[in-house]
This record gives sequence, structure tokens and C-alpha cells, in this order.
Amino acid sequence: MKVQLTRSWFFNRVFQLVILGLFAKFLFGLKWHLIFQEMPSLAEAVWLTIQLTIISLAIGFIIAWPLALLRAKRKKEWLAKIADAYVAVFRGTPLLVQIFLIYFGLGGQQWMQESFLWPIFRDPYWCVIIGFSLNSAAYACEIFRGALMNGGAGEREAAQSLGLSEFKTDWLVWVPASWRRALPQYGNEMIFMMHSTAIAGLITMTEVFGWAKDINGKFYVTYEGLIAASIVYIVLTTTIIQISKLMEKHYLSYMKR
Amino acid sequence: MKKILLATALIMTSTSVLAADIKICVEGAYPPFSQTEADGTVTGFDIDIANALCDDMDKSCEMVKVDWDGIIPALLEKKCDAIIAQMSITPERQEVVTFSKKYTQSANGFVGKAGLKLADLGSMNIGVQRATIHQAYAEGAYPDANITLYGTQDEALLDLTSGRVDVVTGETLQILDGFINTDNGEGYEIVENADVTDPKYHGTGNGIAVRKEETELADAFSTSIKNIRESGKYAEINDVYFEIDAYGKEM
Amino acid sequence: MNIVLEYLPILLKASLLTVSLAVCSLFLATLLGALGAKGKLSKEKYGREYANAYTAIIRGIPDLVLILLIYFGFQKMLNVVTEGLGLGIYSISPFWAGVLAIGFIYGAYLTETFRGAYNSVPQGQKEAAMSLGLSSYRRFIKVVLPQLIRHALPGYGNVFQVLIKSTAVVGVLGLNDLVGLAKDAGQSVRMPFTFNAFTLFMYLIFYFFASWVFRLLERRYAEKGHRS
Repeated sequence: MKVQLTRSWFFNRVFQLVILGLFAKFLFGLKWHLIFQEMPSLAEAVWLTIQLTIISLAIGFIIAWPLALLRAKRKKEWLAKIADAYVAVFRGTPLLVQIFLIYFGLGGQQWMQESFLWPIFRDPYWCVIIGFSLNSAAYACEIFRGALMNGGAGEREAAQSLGLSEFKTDWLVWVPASWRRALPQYGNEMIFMMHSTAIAGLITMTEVFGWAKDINGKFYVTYEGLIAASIVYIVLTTTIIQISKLMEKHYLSYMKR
Repeated sequence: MKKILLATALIMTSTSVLAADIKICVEGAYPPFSQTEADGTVTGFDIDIANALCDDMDKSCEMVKVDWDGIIPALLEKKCDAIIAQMSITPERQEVVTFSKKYTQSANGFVGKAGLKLADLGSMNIGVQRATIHQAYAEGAYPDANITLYGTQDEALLDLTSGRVDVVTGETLQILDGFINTDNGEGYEIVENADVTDPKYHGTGNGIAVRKEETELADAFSTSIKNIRESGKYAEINDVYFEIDAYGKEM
Repeated sequence: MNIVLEYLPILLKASLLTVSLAVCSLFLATLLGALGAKGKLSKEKYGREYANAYTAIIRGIPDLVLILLIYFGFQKMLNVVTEGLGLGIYSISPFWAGVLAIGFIYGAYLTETFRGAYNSVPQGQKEAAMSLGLSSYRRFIKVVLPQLIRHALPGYGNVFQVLIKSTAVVGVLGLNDLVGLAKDAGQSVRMPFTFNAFTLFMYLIFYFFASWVFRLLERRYAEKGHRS
């Protein structure tokens, strides 16, 4: 048994060293000075990625709650059905296609180009904000609806027995309590949204992925831009994970004994 | 497990077992030089020239459609052996690839709504394809303009018609025969006097790019270009697409 | 409208390509997910190390970036190997590069799904099987696997739904899949709205079809006499 262990230890170490060595040889062969030289533009790109993520998540969050309540309570069945359809369409299709439909599709329509909305749809920035927000709203709505349904009856009965109106019961008791339950899943949605902002790079925007393509194109290189972008995305993902851990700690502190 | 991996490896590579002698990267979104047909095949001037050159070299060739963004990486990672995609011979590119002698020469032009003046360009929204000499020229010559980069020339021209950009810059022949002379280009024209050729940006013609160390292949292409020029094959292809000689001045 | 009818056959062919891409990717992702879960659950430190590095890296990078990295990077690795063995160049087509990339990405997500499912099979079941004297292989196949499938199915279905949508990004490699073709064709006939709307509609069909299949499967593997 002991012999086996040491042998596997040895082989694993050798294997790891060979892999790391090859990888290091590859990495040192790249033209990293290009990336350092482009740091200012990378900073701008990172800022744009952060902006798109935060704005889309915020708008999505605001839209998602009323929709989630509508779907959880189902008091007006036809309204709830419309909300169901909205969520199904946005969750059932790729965000990439949704963005293409807004940017190329709507933007290519004659009537759109002549309408008062054109200043908004003309700008890729607003096209992606609209697309991302609507998409994030649909995903968040599904998460929130699950959280609302899981808490349901008890919380609302308690609040109503205290004499709170239905509106207050929903928004001051049910929603905040459900928000706590939704947190872990919402953390995943934040990461997904941040990753999805890369799609903006396909429609002329210079966020991190667009920046990577620009750099690779400008200097005729294959990996430098993409690897730098990957590192940025990993750092951003780690940051979001930390933030959502902090949020969970904050909101769930009352549960500590 | 090993068997499954082996099987997958076999399936993955089996598509390329019947490989041609030379694989050629073409773009497929740059009419009339290179465009994708409804059935997915690629046609155009570049493809006809590529086939003529291969015939002359007595080699079998296969076209590989690659986005412009990834065309040099595809060559370097050996997904193809040569690029025939109106690529200008510039010192920056020569650091990563080797070029044959030129096979066409492009002039730089700007296209916009009819009536646009050269003096207007400086403060406009200019659309240009990423990683081209035209990008470098627009950035260098119009530093105050708002420049938007596109993955393909088609996308830039589409946004010109929708009004997201005011002018698009690129190769004059492409703009003329791929846009202005088609139904889509009605009401648009080349901006007069904007077609400057500055050797600092515009290189010395468009060549066939091969991997840096494969100078022999580049030389073979150069010889074949000379041959098809002399045999009249080049003129035959040229006449299908253009009114003027795409080759430009004789060297 | 006539133009759409003219393009309909190749759009449907492209849809088929997208579906086969999704199915092949799911197959690879399942293999990698099983391997990853085995690593994460293994008692050996190295198995856990590799599996953790794999999931952390994959889950930190957007699929658009990963797919390009894998398309070029995997080709580079393959070139090193085949040239080292003197075999010449094997070019990976965009389709298989897409399968590799998407399989790789969703293998990481399935790793978590499978690990969770394995852990929710009660320890007592495994011990009971052991006390019956079953070999470790039969223990896994006869006792653990059926329960594992039941616990993993809902998560597996969710991952597949996300995976189908991920196939949209393979178009950036120049593949004539549904998204890539609809974008190019829509642009060249100047009807981007109609063509992209068609794509959206096809994906909705995939989505509902996949939901239906997984609902059936879940019912099939549900515990008899229990609500699950």
C-alpha cells in the first residue's frame, strides 16, 4: 500500500511538472509587453464590463420582483400567463440571439430607424443594456418565484394577523424573507450575467472580450488578448463570489445562534 | 475509457484524412472577392484566383472559410497553409507571416450618403473592419473621428445603411462592386478625393500569406501569379468581376 | 417571405447541426463530469486537486472566450503531439472544436451535479450492498447508479437546457450552425430581423422539447410509491 502511494505521488509530481513546464514555455513565448502597453485601454474595457453587469443586474432586479409576485400569487391569471410566457421566451433562447435580434434585427428595420426610439436603438450600448436587463429579469424572476413559493403561507399569515394590508404583507414581509432564501442562487445569476456581457464584444463594443479581439487583431497575435481577458474574468468572478458571500453573511446573520 | 477517448480522437480527425495538398483560408464575407452562398459554399474572385493558382502549381486545394478576426491565427495554428483574402503586405504583418508577390492592389476609399465631402470626415462616425490597413489609416488620418470596429466588412456596410455610422472606409473595389453597384448601395457613393494612398499605411499590394518559415511556398505562389498573368487566365477571371484590372500597376 | 422559404431547407439543416452539436457536447460533458466527480470524491489528494482546478478555471471564464481559446489552443497542443509523433497535421473542424469546448465547459457543471447526487445516495445503501458481498463494480452499477441517476436528473436537465443555449456561441468559429447561418444569411439578404426571429423560435422549440424529455425521464426514475 505504501509503495503504491509513493509511486502515485511520484508520477503525479512528474506529470504536473511536465504539464506546468510546457505551459510555462508557451506562456513565456508570448508577447506580454503588448498587454502592458495596452493597460490603459484594458482598464477602460474592464470598467465597461463592470458597468454593463451592474446596470443590467439592477434593472433586471427591479423588474423581476413584481413579476415574481405576479407569478407566485396568480390572482390575475391572464397577467400571470403573460409573465410566464415572457420568462419562458427569455430563459428558453440564447441571449446571443436575443441581442442579435435587437441590434441587427430591430436596428435594421426601416420603421425603427425613423421612429423616436432610434437614438436608443442606434447605440449598441443601449441595445445591450435592454437585452441584458430583460434577460436577467427573466432569470431572476424564476429564482425569486421559487423563493416566494418556498416561504409562502406561514410568513403571510403571520403578517396578516398583525393587521398588515396585502400590499405591505407582500413587500415588507414576504419579499424580504424570500430575498434571503434566493441569495445563493442569485449569486450564480450575477456570475452568469457578468460572463454574458462578453456578447457585447460581438456588436462593436470594447468591453473585455471586444478589447481582446481588438488587441489580437491589431498585433496579429492569437492568445495574448484572450488570455489577458480570461484572467480579468476569473478575477471578476472571484470578486462576485466574495461579494455574494458577504451578502449572505449580512442578510443571514439573524440566523446565527 | 481509453477506448472511448481513442474513438473520439479518431472521429475528430477523420474529417481531415482526405486532406488536400494545400488548404487555403478565405474570408467569405467580402463580396465580390469572397462571399458565402446560400448553400454554404464560398465563391468569388479570391476563390477563382486560388483555384487558378493551384491548377498552375498542379496541386489539389481546399478552401477553408475563416472569419477575418481569426484568419492569421488559423494560418499559424496550421488550420490552413495559405491565406488568399485581399491581405495587404505591410511590415507589421511581415513580422508574423511571409507574403508572396502581390496579386492585387487595393486603393483606399470612403463610402457615405451621396454628397458627403472630404472635409466632413474628420468629425464623423467612421465604420471600419478590424485589423485591416483601413483601420490603421482611419485611426492615423482622422484622430478626432469616432471609429467603430467591425468583425466583417458586411457588418460595417449594414450599419452604414441603418445609419449607425456615417461613413465606412475600406478597399475601393470592394465597396464599388460589393456595395454601391448592388441594390443595397442605392443613394451611396464614394467620397470624392478621400482615396489617398499613403505608403505608411497602405502597404505594397495584396499578397498571399503563408507561415513565416515557408518561403518556398510563397515563391511558388509568386511564380504562379506571374504565370496566370501571362497566360491570360488572370484577365479572364478579372473580367467576370471588375471593369478595371485588380492587379494595379505592373511591377 | 419567399426568401425565407427559399432558405428554409438550409436553415433546417443548420438546426440539425445545432442539435447534433448539443447532443455530442452533452455526451462529452457527461464523460468529463463523471471523471470530475470521481476526482472530487476520490480519497487521493491529486484527483481532488485536478478536479478543483478544472471546475474553478472553467467556471471563471465566459464561454465565448473559452471557445476561442480551445479552438486555437487545443489545435496547438494537438500539433505538438502529432508532429512529435511524426503524424502530420490533423485539423480540428469548427464543429468538433465546438463540441470540445462546450463539452469541456459543461463537464465542469456536471461534475458538481454528479458529486451532489452521489453524496445524496444514503451511506447505508452502500454499506448494505457491501455486506451482501457485492463487488465494488456491481455495487456501483446495481445499487448506487440507479439512485444516483434519480438524484442527478433534475440538475442534469437544467445543465442541458443551458448547454443548448450555449451552442449559439459556436457561430464565432465560422460554423454554419443555426445562429451563424441565420446571421450571415440575414445580413446578405438584408432581413436580419426575420432570420434571427426564426433562430429564436427554433431554440424555443428545442427548449420545450428538452423539458418534455427530461420530465418523462424524471417520472421514469422517480421512486415508486414516493413523491419526489
